[in-house]
Amino acid sequence: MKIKKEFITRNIVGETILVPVGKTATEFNGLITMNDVGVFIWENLELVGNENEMLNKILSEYEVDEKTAKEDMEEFLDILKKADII
Amino acid sequence: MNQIYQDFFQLLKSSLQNTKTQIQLSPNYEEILKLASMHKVIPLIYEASYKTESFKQIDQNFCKYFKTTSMQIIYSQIQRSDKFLQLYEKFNQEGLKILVFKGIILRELYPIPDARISGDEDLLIEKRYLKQAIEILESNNMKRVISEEEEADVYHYFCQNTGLHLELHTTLFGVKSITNKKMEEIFSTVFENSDTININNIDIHTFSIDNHFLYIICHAIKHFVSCGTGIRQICDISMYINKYHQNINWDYIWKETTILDYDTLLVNLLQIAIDYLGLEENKIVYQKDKSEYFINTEDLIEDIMEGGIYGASTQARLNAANMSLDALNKESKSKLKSNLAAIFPKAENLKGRYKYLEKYPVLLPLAWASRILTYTKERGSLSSVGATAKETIAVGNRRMDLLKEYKLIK
Repeated sequence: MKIKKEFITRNIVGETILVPVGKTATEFNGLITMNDVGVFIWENLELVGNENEMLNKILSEYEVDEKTAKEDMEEFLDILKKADII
Repeated sequence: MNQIYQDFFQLLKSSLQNTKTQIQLSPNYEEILKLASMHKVIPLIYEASYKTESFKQIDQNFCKYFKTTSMQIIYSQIQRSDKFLQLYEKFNQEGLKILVFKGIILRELYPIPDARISGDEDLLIEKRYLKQAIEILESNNMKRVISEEEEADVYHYFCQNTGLHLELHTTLFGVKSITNKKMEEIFSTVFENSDTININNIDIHTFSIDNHFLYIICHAIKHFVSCGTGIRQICDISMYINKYHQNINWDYIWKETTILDYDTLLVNLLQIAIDYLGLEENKIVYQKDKSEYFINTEDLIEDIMEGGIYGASTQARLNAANMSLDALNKESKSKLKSNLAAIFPKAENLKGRYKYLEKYPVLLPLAWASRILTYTKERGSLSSVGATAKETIAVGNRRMDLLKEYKLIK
């Protein structure tokens, strides 16, 4: 998977957020906050080839059942896709 | 000291130390937020507040508002910092050695750098590089603002997308007053003594540790003698010592601050940092026994907290600056003359607001009239303007007493 835009992650006010920078700062107005799994997904986005690989990575990192992990992952990826970030 | 200030300091201290506050606090968070706003430290205070037990028990709408406000402030700062670093990288690529001071250098001292916000970023440039730097700025979406003056001491540039405001200085203090001239002399070798630090993989040229430390002290005191200094400037001094205490040449710092008659105030500012912001006293090396100094932080804290950032909390304080500046330049022997200076300031002190005075100082009476008219509009009537004038003189006299107390004027 590929991140199409320029973002940096920061831990602020008890949350991890994605901040658009560079050209993206002018194109993207939203605020994306991430939980631990979201951060894990974001950090590994460009290291995996597809969603199945990502799911396996999540399952090997967190003690979570496959159904919940899949739903959470898809929900987060969906947000990123809709915002044209990946 | 009142309870709000005590709770505020407790929260600020735990934010600077990146720890959960040890004391069971139940502050009036609405008042705390107001103070944090006045001192431009909302994100710092929020970082400490949300970790307290009492915060979980207050109105959820207020919590949400506090959190969202903090988040927006930091979010914008992150974008401004990033834009600044991109620009600075371009300066580096073109071989321009431009010194960065305050701003991002001070932010880096904090546990969460972007939680310590900056209104602008300051750069010091040698005039020979000015044209090249301006070309880089203008080709990177930065527009000149505030003044179009050709030969300026400071060139303001603004980025509409990120809100980044750059101040490109060709001189640090200028030569408009005796004190400024003295300061220019002290900092005349900043380029020769400069250091380089790395922020997010970008090399940043900046003042040497001693020059920068002395600069932030002088800058805080410069504001103190004008309208006032907020608590954030004391935080910066405290955090600077925290990081660089082993490298600071204290003999140099005391020598220069003593020449400027700043040493008594400095000792008191440091005492505030020790008592309320968690600065460890053993990180400071005094030039003489501390008991030889006049130390009374009570009046100082009142002035600092009431004044907000740069002492700009009220119009009366802003107006009163003309009285203290006048007294500092030793032009007024009497309070009456200083009082008049507050109401009818010199052209020099009004140029910032009334640009036409730069070219036509003869229009000073017009500026006085516009000023009074503006206050009439703000206050509703001429009698209210009288009240402002009265308030200004009261604030000015109180602040002049403070300058005397901390031996800035004799």
